[in-house]
Amino acid sequence: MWLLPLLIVFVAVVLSIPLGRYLTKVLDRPVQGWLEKWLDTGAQNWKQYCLAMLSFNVLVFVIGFLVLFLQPWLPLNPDNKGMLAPTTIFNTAASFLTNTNLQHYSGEVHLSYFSQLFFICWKQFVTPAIGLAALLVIIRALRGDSDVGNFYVDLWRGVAYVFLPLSIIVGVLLLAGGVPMTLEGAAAVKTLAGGDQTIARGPVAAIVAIKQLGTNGGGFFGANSCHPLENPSFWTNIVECVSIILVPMACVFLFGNMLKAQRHATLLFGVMLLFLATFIIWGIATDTLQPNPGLHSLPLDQSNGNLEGKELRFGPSAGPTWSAITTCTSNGSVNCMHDSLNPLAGLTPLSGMWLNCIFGGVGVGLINFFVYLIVAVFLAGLMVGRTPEYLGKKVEAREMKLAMLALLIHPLMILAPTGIAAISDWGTGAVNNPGPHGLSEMLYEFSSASANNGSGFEGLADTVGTADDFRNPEKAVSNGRAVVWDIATGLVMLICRFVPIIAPIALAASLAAKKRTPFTTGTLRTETLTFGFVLLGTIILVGALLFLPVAALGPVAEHLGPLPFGK
Amino acid sequence: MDFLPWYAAMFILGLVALAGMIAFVRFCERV
Repeated sequence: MWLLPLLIVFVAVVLSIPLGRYLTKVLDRPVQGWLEKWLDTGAQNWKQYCLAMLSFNVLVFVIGFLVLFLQPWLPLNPDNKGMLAPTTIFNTAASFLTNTNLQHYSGEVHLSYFSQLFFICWKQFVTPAIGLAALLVIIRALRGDSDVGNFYVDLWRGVAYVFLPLSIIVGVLLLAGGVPMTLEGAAAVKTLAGGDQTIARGPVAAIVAIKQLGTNGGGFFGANSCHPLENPSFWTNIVECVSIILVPMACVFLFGNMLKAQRHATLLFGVMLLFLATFIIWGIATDTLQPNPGLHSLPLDQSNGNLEGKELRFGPSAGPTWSAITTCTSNGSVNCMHDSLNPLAGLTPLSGMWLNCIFGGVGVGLINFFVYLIVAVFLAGLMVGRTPEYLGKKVEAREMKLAMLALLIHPLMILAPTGIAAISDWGTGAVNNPGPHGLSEMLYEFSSASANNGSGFEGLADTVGTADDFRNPEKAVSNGRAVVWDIATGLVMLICRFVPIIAPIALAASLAAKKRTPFTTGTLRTETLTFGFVLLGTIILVGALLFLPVAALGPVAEHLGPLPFGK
Repeated sequence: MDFLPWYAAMFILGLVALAGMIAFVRFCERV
């Protein structure tokens, strides 16, 4: 039970150290080769870099929207997938643009192979590279470089030297583990009982590899990594789980290597690891070591804990372990149904998304952590009565305003829409469960969208689906609600992708413009264990202040409430 | 194609949201 999470975390930590060195080598070097020279439009300041990044994102959105819109007429569509509903296209285009991969569709039902490869897979390579590029800007600014690099060169390096080679390695491992890779249409087979069965398949291994490595999470199949062709065995489960967390962990070492502050980076890594371990232990303790309270009156053996919604081929603790890792890292793929976790275990994925900085998404997770770091430095400075400093640069009013913008947009975009949904027909009418569990379903959806995570609690009628569904008069009421969910979560994803990237970049650039303060005996040391505890306390306090009330109304109330959703 | 205005509206909504982010860059500059 405990061996699986220990093995996954141990392997990921061990591999992330050399990967961090490799990232430093390929991402932090002068422009070389004709392609990089061609892509290099010159040194950029933070504003030019952000505008280049946003312009590229506009292009990605336009191409993505058009690919989905033109799906019925494009090639590689052997199963004749039709047109999606307009709001579903908007939601999906926003979702994959923002590295969220919230799937308001079911891959094998709604998308052609062309859409899977040239919409899903393409964006799954490009968007984590954008996150990585954003992190590079912040590191270069903190290092005091005269410019922050060039967006197009960074993007190319991220795709070509990081995600492509890693995806080939993981893809081959998955192929060896039984994940299919074909462009043939669905297989029609005879079952042992003599019946007919259609088995969906396609270029699954290629998509699953980058889905995990790029903290994307969007699966080929609707059931994601619960599906036997997307995650066939115990071993593929370990490969995928390690792949989820590998690059975010390596980003911390990249940070330390580029700033030549390895001890500081090791401390940050330690704080993140402590949070991750706590979430995994909490998930296992409240789900694998506890029976499902809703099933206690049935003649079931619950000695292996809550097995409802789990895939037993991975082992009993695999679900809670994955749920912690996938939500801490902003990945969002699932290997169990989060809706079926015991109420208190549901806090594991929710907390991971609320903090959204425990390793986090590729690049952006560490950017979120950087914001908490600035807040911790500021608080520590106030406590000892000195002007707060980080890496020799004074943290003043402007930096704190930018840090607050980046920090507070996340809870605002979760709590405000959840509150509105909870008093509106489009919210309450879309949930499958009454009471606190229904609130958790709505809360989870907006948490997932805001954290750019993409996992689903499910149990929510939150999408329209196909164009045929959209024009079906019998579905007018449910479509009316789903349209709001599609648009609201789409906008939340877009806002919460870019605000927490742009504001910290501006913050780092503001620090970069300041003179370096000489190191004295009174300087706050950011590589000590004491600062580690300050950082830990800051994250817990800020996170708890923002989200404890809504946690009490959702999962905690459900745990304490009447059957079938509590004791 | 009976819902073409809906598709156009969703397309424009995405572009407007991204344009808002470009405006946010300018806002951060002035903070």
